[in-house]
Amino acid sequence: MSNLLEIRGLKVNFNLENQVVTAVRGVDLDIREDEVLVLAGESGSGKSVTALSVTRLLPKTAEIVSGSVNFHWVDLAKLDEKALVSIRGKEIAYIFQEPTSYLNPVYTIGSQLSEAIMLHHDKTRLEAFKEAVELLDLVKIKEPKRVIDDYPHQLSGGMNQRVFIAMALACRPRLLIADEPTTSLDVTVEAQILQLLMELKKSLGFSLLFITHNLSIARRIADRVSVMYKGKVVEEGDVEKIFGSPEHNHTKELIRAYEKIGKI
Amino acid sequence: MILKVENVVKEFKFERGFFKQEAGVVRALDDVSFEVEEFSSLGIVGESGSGKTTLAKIIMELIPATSGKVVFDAERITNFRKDAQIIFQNPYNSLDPKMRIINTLSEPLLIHGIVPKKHFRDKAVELLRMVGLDESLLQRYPIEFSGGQRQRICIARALATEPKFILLDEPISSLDLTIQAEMLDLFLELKAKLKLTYIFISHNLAVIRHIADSVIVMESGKIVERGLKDAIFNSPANTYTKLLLEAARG
Ligand SMILES: Nc1ncnc2c1ncn2[C@@H]1O[C@H](COP(=O)(O)OP(=O)(O)O)[C@@H](O)[C@H]1O
Ligand SMILES: Nc1ncnc2c1ncn2[C@@H]1O[C@H](COP(=O)(O)OP(=O)(O)O)[C@@H](O)[C@H]1O
Ligand SMILES: [Mg+2]
Ligand SMILES: [Mg+2]
Repeated sequence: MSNLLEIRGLKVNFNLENQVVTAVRGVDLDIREDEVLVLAGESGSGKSVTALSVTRLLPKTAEIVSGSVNFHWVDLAKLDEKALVSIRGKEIAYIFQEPTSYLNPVYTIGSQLSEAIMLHHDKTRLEAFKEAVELLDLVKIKEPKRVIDDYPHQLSGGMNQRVFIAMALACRPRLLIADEPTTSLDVTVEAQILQLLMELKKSLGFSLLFITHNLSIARRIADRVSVMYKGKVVEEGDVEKIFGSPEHNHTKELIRAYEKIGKI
Repeated sequence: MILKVENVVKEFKFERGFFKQEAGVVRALDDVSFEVEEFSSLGIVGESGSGKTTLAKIIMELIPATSGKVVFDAERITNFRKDAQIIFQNPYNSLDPKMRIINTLSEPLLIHGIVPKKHFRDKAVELLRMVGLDESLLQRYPIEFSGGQRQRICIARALATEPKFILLDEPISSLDLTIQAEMLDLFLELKAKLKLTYIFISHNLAVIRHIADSVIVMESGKIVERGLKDAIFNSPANTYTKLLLEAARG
């Protein structure tokens, strides 16, 4: 399988008032066509910063010091902001842990979804609304015609995450980056969302980069696993290899926690 | 028996819609009764919104019940505010950001007269050690700590009053899995060493399996299943319990 995304030597600093913090110190990461890569590691290890660097969604204090991000043979690190806008959302989409902080509380689900659709497609509002209903159906929301008129606060955490997924997939991206999207959900809801993502990946065909601190998710969905520790990828391999013969101490630690409380 | 919850009902009034056209009550707890044995650990599981935190707050007298009551054994829990402590889920907003750790730990020592003032520092060091932290942290502020460290400080503060009963409401749910595993060991160690009684609320059955002797499963404000841990895990009777077990198996 060929690589869809290749990150090489990525280094990211935060330039704070009186110090420079290096968050990512030379990360190499490959994501292949049509695979699920789970990026695992403890909090603060640099997973989110790595993910956000891909399309430069970083806060203003952050600086990509060096590295390349090849997506389809294009180095995203070299693209200007205008060119990146056409990649973000359209080719590479994100979902995050707290969907409600990305959904606008004062607009209905329908108007936000159709807005996202119109942003990238030449469609009338009516056409976009029709497609919004189809998207809600795609993410297995029952009664999409009713939910389309709801506001985010009227929906449960799991439902909002489904809406967020629908929005991310509106433009049929080739890469979906999911940064801990199930971390604050109930276990039963988490299981449903993981299942949904796998079904959507199968039917729509995209690569998935899934970020988590919990290896039980890798066990469920990963083809390959990369483990980050203190700003570096310290181990990567097929899911069987990672669980069967882990090498790095941090990988072993993650597996011990998984064996103990990541499953019953 | 150290604690008895009898037919507790809790209703919240709600209003919905721009003109508050919809109004009514939600029954967050619906006739909940159970007992907790001294030195035991009762696990409570259920998904969000099932009423766990509401129950925790009623037990700790932080909010009143609509009806029913909570009775502590007066021989064992003589001074409620001292003998019964609670630890919440979110270690990020349960510590005062403007207080140094030494002061956070000294406050309960002072309020409950645990040790004379000249021993505050020694006691604070002892508490930090108990939760696996170093005395060098005494003069620092909460913002300097990770989630796991903050939760350890919350535990140290709860232990300052030398409690007999601790209610833990999802105390590790917001932490990394590796840190959760460490914290779980700490809770087990402290329970044995200090002869504590726990109510441990969690939505993770794998955590409950390590810490609980008996388990209550809650759904929509009702207890839908209860029993000894092994019975619940090996032969669950309720559909919802089975669903939870299924999800946790992965
Ligand atoms: N906005 C920020 N300002 C300063 N430092 C930051 C900021 N965001 C992240 N960092 C630093 O970058 C490191 C990596 O953070 P992050 O990628 O969010 O970790 P993860 O997602 O693995 O939990 C952290 O240790 C933190 O020190
Ligand atoms: N202060 C409140 N006002 C109105 N409803 C509340 C309040 N607190 C809790 N509830 C409702 O009570 C139910 C139980 O909530 P909670 O006890 O927090 O559940 P859990 O801790 O199991 O997630 C929920 O439906 C919640 O919306
Ligand atoms: Mg992160
Ligand atoms: Mg709760």
